[in-house]
Amino acid sequence: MRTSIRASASTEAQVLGRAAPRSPWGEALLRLRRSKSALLGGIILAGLIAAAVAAPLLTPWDPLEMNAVDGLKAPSARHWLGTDILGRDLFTRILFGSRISLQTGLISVAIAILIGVPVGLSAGFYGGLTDRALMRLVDLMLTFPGILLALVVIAILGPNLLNAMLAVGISASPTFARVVRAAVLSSREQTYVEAARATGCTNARIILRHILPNTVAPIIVLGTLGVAGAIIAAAALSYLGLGTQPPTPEWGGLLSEGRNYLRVAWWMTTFPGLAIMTAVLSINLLGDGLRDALDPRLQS
Amino acid sequence: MLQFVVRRLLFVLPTMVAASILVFLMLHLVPGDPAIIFFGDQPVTPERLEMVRHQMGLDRPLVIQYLDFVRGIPRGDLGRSIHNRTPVFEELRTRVASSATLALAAFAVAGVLGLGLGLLSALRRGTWIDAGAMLVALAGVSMPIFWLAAMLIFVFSLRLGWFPATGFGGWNRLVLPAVALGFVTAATLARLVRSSVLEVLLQPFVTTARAKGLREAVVIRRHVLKNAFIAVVTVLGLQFGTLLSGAVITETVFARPGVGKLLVDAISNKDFPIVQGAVLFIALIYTVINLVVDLSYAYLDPRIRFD
Repeated sequence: MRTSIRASASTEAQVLGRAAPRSPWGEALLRLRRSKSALLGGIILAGLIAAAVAAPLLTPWDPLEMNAVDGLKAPSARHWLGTDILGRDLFTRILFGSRISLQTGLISVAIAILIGVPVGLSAGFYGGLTDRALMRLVDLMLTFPGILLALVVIAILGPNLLNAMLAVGISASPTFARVVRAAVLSSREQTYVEAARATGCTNARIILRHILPNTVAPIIVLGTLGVAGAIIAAAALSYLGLGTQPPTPEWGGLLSEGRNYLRVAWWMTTFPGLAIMTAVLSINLLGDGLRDALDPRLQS
Repeated sequence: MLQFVVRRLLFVLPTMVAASILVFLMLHLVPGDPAIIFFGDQPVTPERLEMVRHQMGLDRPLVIQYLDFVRGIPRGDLGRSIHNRTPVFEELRTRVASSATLALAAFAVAGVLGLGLGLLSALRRGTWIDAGAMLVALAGVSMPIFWLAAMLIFVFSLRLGWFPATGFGGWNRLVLPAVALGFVTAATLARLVRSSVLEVLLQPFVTTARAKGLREAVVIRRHVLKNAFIAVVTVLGLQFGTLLSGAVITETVFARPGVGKLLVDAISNKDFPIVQGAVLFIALIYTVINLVVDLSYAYLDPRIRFD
């Protein structure tokens, strides 16, 4: 039945001289490709990811190897972005740092999704007491500034990279729960869910097969923009000495190392900051484009 | 209206109870014995350890410990710092002025800069001014506060020598931290002011105002700005959390003796009573500000209270 409807729609489109109708995802992709800023963001981000993956091929230096003779050298042909106090090549450290910073952003958001999405799905689908209890908890978490929650988690677990990711992920999770709950509420009453229930589907199957796919679009948008926020938050924790610990190269940590040498080595602070800004800017551009493409109602 | 105010006030109570439980449990959730954490790296005899456990009340049931902790809060008894034995309340009290001054100054920077950039951009839509203002705003939302702060110190303090790089006291020590902290909020605000002004400009009442023959400046001031101002208040309210989070970082970068720096230092030094006190204090301030913002919405836009 479904096939024949599709076939007739396509035939009708051909007769009328129009292109065959696209799926919602195809439409979204088309809208995304039309957005110049999203395209720019995507290209920059792809470049950054490629550089992070190919880091050892792009530099002859080792990110951890010290060479005191070369300490605090200004940018030159030998050291493109200069060196730090221990003579380590800054370009190399930023390049290798991108691996950690980008991963930190992604893993933090994955943690936020793993916590927030099941909470939002359960609250939205089951409603009633479950909804009220879970959403009060989410509201309570949202009444604290994100960094405060993150600092509490770090205070409890101790300062290191893994705990920083957990801290950022946990503090970002309430937003995912709220957005997913809203998406579930709008799809819960749809006829296809009613039909699934009538055919005897279990709750778990209805949630996973029929409701979850409808929450994917907002999760993608929030997740993308969340990666940008998570990179900054994790860098902030490292900057405060509560995230990645030296000598591991991470953008926030590199900035922190540079702050004591601001007067004599401006490059140690300037370039890691520019790296963070470029990554965050590209992700924000892509995220804005994705939001406009996947949910035209939210278009600014 | 009264019902809304009462309902909103009642929500403050569970929030603060939850904050107090979280803060209280923090010491118990930390891996290891709180008494051992209390001593840090110092060598300690088992008898002394037992005595401190008794003094800290750790040998009593958890609920009793929590109730004791809560009973102390109204009296301003939040315990003593592990490191210098000063009362936590005293540590907080001496730092509030610095943090409050910074928050207010940053709020002013955010309001003036955000409103100015957003308005300019909307009124000059499609020109290079619009593009430039929005580029600044986009860079602002993508910029880590601690980097902007470091760059401001480098240019205006180390190179030009216009402002001192660190410390507290005097307006000249406030300028750089306030700009650093306010800029990110200003950037978010500018983007939203632009879109809300553009939206208001398309409303029929603006066309009517123009058709009446009002001068453009009057139309903007009386009809556009007034409506856009609701968005400004909303965003400034929502951004207060960002400002508070940023203050923790800004105070550390500029070595300002505020509550945020106290908290960060205490986490690094494992001074848990201070961490507990500072977290509770920031949560309280945040909750109160949110309450004020919510109540002011209801005043500004009567439809909100029915939501």
